Amino acid sequence: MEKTGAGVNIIELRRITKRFPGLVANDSINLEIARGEIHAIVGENGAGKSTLMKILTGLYQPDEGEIYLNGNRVAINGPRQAIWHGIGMVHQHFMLIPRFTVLENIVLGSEPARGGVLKEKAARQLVEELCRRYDFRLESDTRVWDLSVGQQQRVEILKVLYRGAEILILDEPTAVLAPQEVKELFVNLRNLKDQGKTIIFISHKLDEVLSIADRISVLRRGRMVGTVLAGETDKKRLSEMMVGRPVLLKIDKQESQTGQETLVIKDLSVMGSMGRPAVRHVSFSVRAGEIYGIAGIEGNGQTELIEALVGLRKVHTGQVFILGQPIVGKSVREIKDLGVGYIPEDRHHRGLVLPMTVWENAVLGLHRTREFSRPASLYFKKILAHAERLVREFDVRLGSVDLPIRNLSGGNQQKVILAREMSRDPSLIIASQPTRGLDIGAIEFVHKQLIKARDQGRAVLVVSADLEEVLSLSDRVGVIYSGEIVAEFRPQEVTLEEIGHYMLGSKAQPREGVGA
Amino acid sequence: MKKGKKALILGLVLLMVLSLVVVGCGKKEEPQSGQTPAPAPEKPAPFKVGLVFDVGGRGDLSFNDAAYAGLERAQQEFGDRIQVKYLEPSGGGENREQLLRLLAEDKYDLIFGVGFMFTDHIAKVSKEFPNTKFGLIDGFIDGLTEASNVSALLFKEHEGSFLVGAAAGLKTASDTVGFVGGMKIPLIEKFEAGYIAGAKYVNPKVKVVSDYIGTTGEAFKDPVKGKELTLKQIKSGADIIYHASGASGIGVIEAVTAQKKLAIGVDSDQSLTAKEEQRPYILTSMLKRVDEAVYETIRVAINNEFKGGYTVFGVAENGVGYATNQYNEAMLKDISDKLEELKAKIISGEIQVPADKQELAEFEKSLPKN
Amino acid sequence: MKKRFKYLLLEIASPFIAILFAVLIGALVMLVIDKNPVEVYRTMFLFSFKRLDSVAIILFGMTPLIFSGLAVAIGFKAGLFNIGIEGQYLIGTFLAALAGFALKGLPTFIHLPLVILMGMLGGMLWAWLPIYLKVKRGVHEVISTIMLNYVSFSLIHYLIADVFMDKQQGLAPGVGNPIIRLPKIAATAVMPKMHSFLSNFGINLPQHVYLNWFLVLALLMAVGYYFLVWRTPFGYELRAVGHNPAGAETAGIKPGAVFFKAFLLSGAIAGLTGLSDLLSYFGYMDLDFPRGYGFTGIAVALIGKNGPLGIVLAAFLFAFLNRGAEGVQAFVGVPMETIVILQGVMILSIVVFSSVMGRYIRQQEKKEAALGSAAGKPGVTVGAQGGVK
Repeated sequence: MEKTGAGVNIIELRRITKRFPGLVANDSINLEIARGEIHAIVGENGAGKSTLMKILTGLYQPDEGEIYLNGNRVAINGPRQAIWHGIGMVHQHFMLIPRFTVLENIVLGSEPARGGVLKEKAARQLVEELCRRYDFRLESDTRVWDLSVGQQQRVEILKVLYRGAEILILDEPTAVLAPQEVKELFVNLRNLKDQGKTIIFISHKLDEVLSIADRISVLRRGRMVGTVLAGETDKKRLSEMMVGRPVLLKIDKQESQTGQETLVIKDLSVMGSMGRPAVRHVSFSVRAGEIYGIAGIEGNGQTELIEALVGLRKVHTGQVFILGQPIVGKSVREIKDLGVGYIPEDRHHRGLVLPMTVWENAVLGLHRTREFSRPASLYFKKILAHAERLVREFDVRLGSVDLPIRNLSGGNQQKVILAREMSRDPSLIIASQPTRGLDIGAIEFVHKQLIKARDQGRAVLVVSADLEEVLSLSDRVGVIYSGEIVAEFRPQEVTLEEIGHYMLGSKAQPREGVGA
Repeated sequence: MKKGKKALILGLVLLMVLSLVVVGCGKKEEPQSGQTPAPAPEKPAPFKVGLVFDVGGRGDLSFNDAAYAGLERAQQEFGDRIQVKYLEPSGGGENREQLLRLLAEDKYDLIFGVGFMFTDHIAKVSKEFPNTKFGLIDGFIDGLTEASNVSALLFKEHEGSFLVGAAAGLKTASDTVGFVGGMKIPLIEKFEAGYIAGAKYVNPKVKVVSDYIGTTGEAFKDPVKGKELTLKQIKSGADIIYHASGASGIGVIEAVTAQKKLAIGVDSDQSLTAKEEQRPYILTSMLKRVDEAVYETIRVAINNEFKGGYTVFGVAENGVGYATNQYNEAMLKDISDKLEELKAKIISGEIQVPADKQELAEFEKSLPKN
Repeated sequence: MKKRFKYLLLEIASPFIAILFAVLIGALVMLVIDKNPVEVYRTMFLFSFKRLDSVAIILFGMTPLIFSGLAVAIGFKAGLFNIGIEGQYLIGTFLAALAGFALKGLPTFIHLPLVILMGMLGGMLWAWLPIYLKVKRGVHEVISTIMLNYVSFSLIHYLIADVFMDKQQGLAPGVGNPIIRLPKIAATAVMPKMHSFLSNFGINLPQHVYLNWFLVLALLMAVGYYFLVWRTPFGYELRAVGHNPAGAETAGIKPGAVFFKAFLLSGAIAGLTGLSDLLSYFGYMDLDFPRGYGFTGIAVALIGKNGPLGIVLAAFLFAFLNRGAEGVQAFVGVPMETIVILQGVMILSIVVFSSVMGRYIRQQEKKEAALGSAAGKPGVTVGAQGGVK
């Protein structure tokens, strides 16, 4: 058995176990990757995907278990050794130097040189040969800052190929891409596969996995649940494997009952951190009882827009009204006191104070209200009761409200934020990337809460990089590109394809159609 | 990970056990007093001399060390007849008084406070312990008499500085000499005034450049700054530089050695403590015989001749002067007659060396102009 | 709640273990210089605690350290590193001394509080610029406070030596050196010692200790610090901003305003640091006025983990080490440097031990939290189920 297996399997992991204090990240995991296949590894956050890949690339050493490459037992002691074995990793966050050219970025760190002199010609030949072979359309002298996100990703892949990788590990490669770009990536990956490369594809987006992978392995809570052929399974079954119970995949919601315009934005422009305009002349409005979604590739002004709305960033020009009140120039506190609940995109950075306790976080921003304090003293009993009530109502799982909130899982932290912001009884909820990094159960919960808020007659503004999420949650969707709302429609009116065009800026609705 | 944790816990336990042993041992040796063993009873009790350094303590190659040298000399000379102890205040210097008091409580016969910072403290403690004698170096307490139990040991640093200033004025080729002071306080300005007066007295054309290292006690232990200032002065033409900056002077000497210019040391004969290669670049040193003062005070006290009041050490008393040694003999050869002549003039009172800026200005006015 | 108690115990135990560790290292050093560590430590203890004057001197010595430790801690709590205590207390002391000698004819109950207020004002004044620069211009407070320390040294030197120096000191012409100091403060600005109060309880302090009511003020200040930081909404904001200014800002707290208030408060408390020495020991400010309380205050806050009790205990520890050093210097002949080493090792090992312990506790908490979310029912505080292993 083993002999034949060695011929087919380029990688075999046997009983890999990796423990961290208080946690078994990988628990006796067996995995076989066949030569020349696209093998997807799926699992929720914290299922142990990254740990497993870090073991494969030598960043972690397993506590127990064995790694076989081509049937030979090996130890991988570091990334250099991993690449020597032909294992290369394409990271989710690109590690490119923007002002260097494509060529320079690719050869950086393993420049072909003799006596300290870069052999540029040789390098160029090699890179261009690679581009040709795998049909990667890239100019080797373009500077990386001129490339689109999808093209940058290709540079990352080339970097790994240039170093002689036979096995490519891609960590959530589609997270940053528009639908069109995802398609192109998949074409590239299939090319690679045809040329005999092996690809390990890490993701939690089941549709994509089903369309690209040959086989799919599912991890849950550090354990290997099983490996299935992509052709023999479906989304429902996969998600059950991932979560361990049946999952509701479609979002259930009624038609919206819209009321008055709660948030009105008129010709809003906001400067970005670099002093360049990040939001340009944006106008739209959100009514009570509807969810307005903003779709777009990250970094197109979403963050700046939202920060301007809640008073964290200065408005450059334009007007914003909440419940009829102009809010430009008002402080965060004044705006929130108008009845705004805010779920920030980065809950560790903006939403919580991690070292402080759950109960302290439960009144963050409410601590000055007459209910919870006077200048001379906080009312501990009331605050504790409040925290316990939120925890109960929002089903937060925790050891004690008296422990620092950093101990909670992402989903439970998000629930605390949601509960806290809801407890202000807001007329407007601004939720930025509300389900980022959460597991399926928590995502469901957050979605339900947002819809419930809508049904209670609140206005909800949702920004998400997850296009599917925006489309399924929202009653209306605006697409943001390069700081402008380039299109606005009802989700059922458009195809994914079309939205993709808007997101990439290759198409825009006529101005008067937007924000009307 | 697990192993690491176990090792940690093991280590902690080990530590605790060890420390228990230490504490346990401590308890066994019960009632002995914490003091150093008393001398054999048949001998007469030794004369006990205590000394409290100023902040910084021994090793400053300057003031504190000079005091220690005096103590050491007395110890060598009197052997068993005396018992010495020296203490050093904490970094902030706030416990000078407590240290003096501890020595007094411990029945020390003669206690020194090294530096004028001790002035008020000795004034206080000497009243609490009327039977203990105190030596105060550089400090002035009002109203002392021969019957007092405090002897203020004072120096005419300006007189010594006058002599080395004259040496510099005679030896300079560029007609520019430098002065690097430690902390800008009247004491150091006294050095400066005497130095400038000496240089100008012998060489009317001479220009003196002066710099101070700083405004805190740190200024006396900052060789880097000392070096910087010296290099700056050399750049502006100075070829002989006198420092009154304690341990910062190490930097002054380094700088002149590197630039092949000359330095003048301070307090003790710095040719002797300098490195071999630096010696040719030390013209002389202004001697402030703190060691002499300490030794003398001990000597008279042992002989029961201690007198309170003020003892002034000037050129006449050999308490200040310039240093000659085998290293600078040749350098001083052509001017030693002149220096001796000036010394005599100071002793006779023909030259009144200025001790501060005001006096210096008047002194300069009285000089013949050419 | 059992578990919480366990952590608390561990957290309290860690500095003590660290102190023991430092004591052992110190013992090694003493062996190297040929001193019997047992005898040294015994002398240190007996000298420090068997003599009434030593105890009083330790209490007197810890007074300024409580102030400077609290001043550092309040900055730390807001996420600010106030290294400028040193300069702030010198300026504060100077202003207090100025008000102490320049104002005459005021009754004590006006003069003394006024002098104390001047001290706080001076500290605040010197804290104002760095925090203004930080909030408005983004200048890091560590840089600006260090620089202002140097400025204060020179400024104080100038003010004392050149502007306000007491020229009335009797001196023989041409010999002796005046103390470079301000005139003595008026009797109405002197902080009374605690001697007569304590004698009511049969404690008769010797005249040569200077224990005074600033100790009580310092302790009150520590209690006030506790209430402010842990019981008031302002303290809550202070801690939130300290841990995560962006998060606090999102919640509607203005980090800049909190920084400002916290830093000025820190400066005001720093301004009290030198007053115990000034108003009841020296009676004047000279160029040699005790230095280093500010830096020791950083160590005190660090060791005391920014908690009021911890700071008081750490200040006590330092004062004890200083007094003990006098004892072992005088009676066992251990040089001052050895004690300095001991202090250094102690600070280091306390910091290391407490970070190790902190990490351990966080891991345990995480486990507990994991347990809670796995087994616990929603909303149930599982702390009580801590017995589960």
